[in-house]
Amino acid sequence: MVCSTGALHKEGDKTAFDVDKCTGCGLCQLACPFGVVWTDKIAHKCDLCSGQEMPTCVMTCPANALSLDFDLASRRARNRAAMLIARGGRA
Amino acid sequence: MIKVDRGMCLGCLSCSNVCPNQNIVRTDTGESRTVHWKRCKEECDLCVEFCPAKALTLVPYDELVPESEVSFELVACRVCGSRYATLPMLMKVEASLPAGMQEDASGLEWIRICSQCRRDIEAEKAAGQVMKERKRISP
Repeated sequence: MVCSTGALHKEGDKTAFDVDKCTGCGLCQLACPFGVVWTDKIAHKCDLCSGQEMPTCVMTCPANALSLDFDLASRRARNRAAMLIARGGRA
Repeated sequence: MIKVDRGMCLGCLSCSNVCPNQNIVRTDTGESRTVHWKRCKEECDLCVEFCPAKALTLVPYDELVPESEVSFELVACRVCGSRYATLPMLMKVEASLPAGMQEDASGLEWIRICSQCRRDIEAEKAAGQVMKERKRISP
């Protein structure tokens, strides 16, 4: 929305980044509510390791805490609650 | 050379970044940012093309016209106090966001918080949820 050159653009669900178009103006950094875009000469943003089968952080997380399945966190929470109830505890 | 519309300039980093000859000098000093356009002879208009505010125009070289300079006060983060953006930049962002997305429980306050603090706040929130969940399972 703030990117005037189209460097940041939508590709399906994800926001893709075309580094050649970036001027480093810094507006995208200010527009991100989560603070995960930053600028130094050009913008930097996670591209989910585009071109790789899986992002490196997901592959290497020793606790398997990271995943590309955005519903997984809520499924895990529900499973934990169900196990607790099965053991006679209170959810 | 380049003519600047002072009322339209956001004080962003675009023109000084794209200028191939370092003719646009940006200086951040603690509380303010100054952008200085040298009297350039090139017919290059990269900065004009990439200005997100369309504040620049290419005009014929004229030795008598003084070099342009615009200064902005840098806005302080409401959380940590670091100076992180110019007011016109923040206003441009506010105006560009879709209405529904702009507001959260505290309205538009988040725009007045720097990126680092926004990230810290999100991390606190996520960690808080996880800890609550863990306490519930093993009190």
